[in-house]
Amino acid sequence: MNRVWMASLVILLSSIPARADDPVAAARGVEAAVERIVDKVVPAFVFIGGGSGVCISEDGWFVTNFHVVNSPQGIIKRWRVKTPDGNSWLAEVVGTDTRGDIALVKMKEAKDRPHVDLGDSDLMETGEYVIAVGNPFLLGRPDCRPTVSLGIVSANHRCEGSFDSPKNLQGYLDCIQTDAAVNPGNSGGPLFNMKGELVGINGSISPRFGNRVNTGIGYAIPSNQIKRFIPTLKEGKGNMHGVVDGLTMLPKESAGDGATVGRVKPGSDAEKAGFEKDDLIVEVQGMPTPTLARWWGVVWTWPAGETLAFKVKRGDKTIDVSAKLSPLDEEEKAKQKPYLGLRMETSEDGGIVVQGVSPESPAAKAGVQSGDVIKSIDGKEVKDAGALLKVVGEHKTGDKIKLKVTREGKEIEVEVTLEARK
Amino acid sequence: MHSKLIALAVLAALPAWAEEASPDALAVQRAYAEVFKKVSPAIVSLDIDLEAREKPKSRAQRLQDMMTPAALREYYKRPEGPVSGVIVGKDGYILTTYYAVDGTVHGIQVHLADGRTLDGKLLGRDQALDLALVKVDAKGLPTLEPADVSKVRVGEFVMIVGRSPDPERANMTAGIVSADGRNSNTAIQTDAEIDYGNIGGALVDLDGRIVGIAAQLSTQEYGLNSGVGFVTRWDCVERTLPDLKAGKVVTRPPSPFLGVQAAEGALEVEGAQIDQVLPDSAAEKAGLRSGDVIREFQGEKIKEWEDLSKLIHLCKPGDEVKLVVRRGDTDIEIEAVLGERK
Repeated sequence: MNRVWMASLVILLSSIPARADDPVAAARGVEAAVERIVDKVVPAFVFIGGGSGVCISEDGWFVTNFHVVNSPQGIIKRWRVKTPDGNSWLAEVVGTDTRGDIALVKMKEAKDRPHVDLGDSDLMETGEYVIAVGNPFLLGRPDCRPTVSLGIVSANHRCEGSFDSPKNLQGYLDCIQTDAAVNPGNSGGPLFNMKGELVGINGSISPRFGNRVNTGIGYAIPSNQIKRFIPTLKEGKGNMHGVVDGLTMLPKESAGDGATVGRVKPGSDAEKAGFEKDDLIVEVQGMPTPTLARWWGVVWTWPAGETLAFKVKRGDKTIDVSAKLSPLDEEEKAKQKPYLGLRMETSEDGGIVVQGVSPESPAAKAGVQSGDVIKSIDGKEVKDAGALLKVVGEHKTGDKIKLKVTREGKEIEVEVTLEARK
Repeated sequence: MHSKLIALAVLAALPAWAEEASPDALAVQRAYAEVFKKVSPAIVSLDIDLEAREKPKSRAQRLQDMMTPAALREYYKRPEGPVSGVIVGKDGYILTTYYAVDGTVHGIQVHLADGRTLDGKLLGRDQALDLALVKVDAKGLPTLEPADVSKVRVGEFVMIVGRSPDPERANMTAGIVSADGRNSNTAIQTDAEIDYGNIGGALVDLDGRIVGIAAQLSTQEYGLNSGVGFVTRWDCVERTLPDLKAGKVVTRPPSPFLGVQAAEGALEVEGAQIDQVLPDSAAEKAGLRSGDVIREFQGEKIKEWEDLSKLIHLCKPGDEVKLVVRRGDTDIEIEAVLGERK
């Protein structure tokens, strides 16, 4: 009886999985998973300037931080970059998202390049392993070997920047915080999940006592934000983040139940969309926004021109509102070249004859008519269309200019408010 | 009979229970704990009586120093105090870092894991590899099995075991191999934290085999405690041990050091554009700033970063050098005294 008992005991105990007996083997399994990802993603790494980048397409499109390609003298557009296979490439910066700190760069004459896919950064959970590849302290320069570090997601949807007013939005308003070691030189480099997908671009760290070295807190721009901006970046357009025009949020923190609308400007997009003062915005694009920080975090990750879906609590009702984001910077709008909207011909006895006026153009709105002869602009005499357009080109969108025109023998002054072409 | 049936029923349920209690994550933790138990007997603590390298400061001066940014950066430099070491020979051979013994050594006390404290005698040392060999009078000491360093892979799980400042308690940090072939192929880079507690200790793999000695190969790279650390590869250690046992002292000729990190490959920039000026460096003392573009070095035109690097290496520490630097719209002349890369 005892022997049967003992035998049963042995059989049962030996059926406990081998893993429990061999933790080193289990650890080796996890280790092997990390090594496999390293082998897969390192070839897509790019050494650029004093930082890092990562290739996202076969023909050599790669992403880095805006601050890696920027300089006090302005954006440096042309680079010679290197890859871990030892090759170097001419590359040109095609688009920059200054506020979002992303630059899209194209390697010239590149094909069949190792590259990585952008994953879903919203799925990253605290505690998940992440792998950073970069060039801290430029250690990888002599032999094109980047540095790999392993850590976890310390927090997702962190707000590392400031948002006290739309005029003062800066930093990474939605980012992944990690304890994977990142230091100066890692900027612009990739953060991967355990599927080898790009989930973030490392760009910022929390320094200690002004020392720019890692203290266990690194911030990565999320891949979902980058995905949404790639089309605009490819077009090479400038600043791209947006706000709901006319919507002012209450600056104070709410009770964690939403972001409160402080003011809706009459006649604005916000009013037309259906927002009202005191509305509590609880969701944006399906993402909960329990705080003002999260409100800004979600809005920040969508480019201007996109129409966003908002869920609003008003009294005891829940309402769906959609609104388009307009470009954040007035300066950006102004930077777009102003136009008059005139078809002109230089007449033989001096003066510019208006042949046609484009409907809804600045000139049309000001009342300029076909047949008008333009004599001067802002008090300066102009003899031909070229000279007139040159003066217009020196102005900014929004500027008011005075045209002196002759209409049916009479001299009239017309004030035109310059606009950008739509 | 009943109690035996109940016992059998409990045992039958055991496999399921064991399954839940040991998913891979918990197994990894246990692997670390096992490696620690295996390795720590071979790790020692050394008290090195080193003649002070600078005049001792008054308490008031030290307190004032603590408040300056330069002093706060001292946090990252090598500490004075006990360092870790690794037993590399059963007959009492112990390796620690060169910089722990750099100067006039008046005495070494070695604290072993078994509680004994023995006098240590300094034998050979190698500055480039950052190694120093100490001999104690003992036999049959525990040592570590060597790993096959040629098979080291980036991403491999590694741990560093040290024994400082408390000789009775060894400690461990963990990370991965971040890169191989660093420092002219003498070092492996790791993000396992190297700090006061384990400089001079052993970097080991999941089987507890020694991959390298956790030596900081430089006192100037402040990143070494920020997830960027270097260990002297075990194969280099093995090649050097005979010389160290014979008492050989190998110092590295001092290397000139300006202290700037410059962007490489910016085609539109004529010169070396400074990204970062390293703290306490010759560059910082000379007033160079991030964003400056170095266009001339000792009268030679600089087209790109590599030109600058080559020219610096032709100089010696202590050389006075003239640079022409573009800052904003103007060119300015800056004089610097090259420092030493330690």
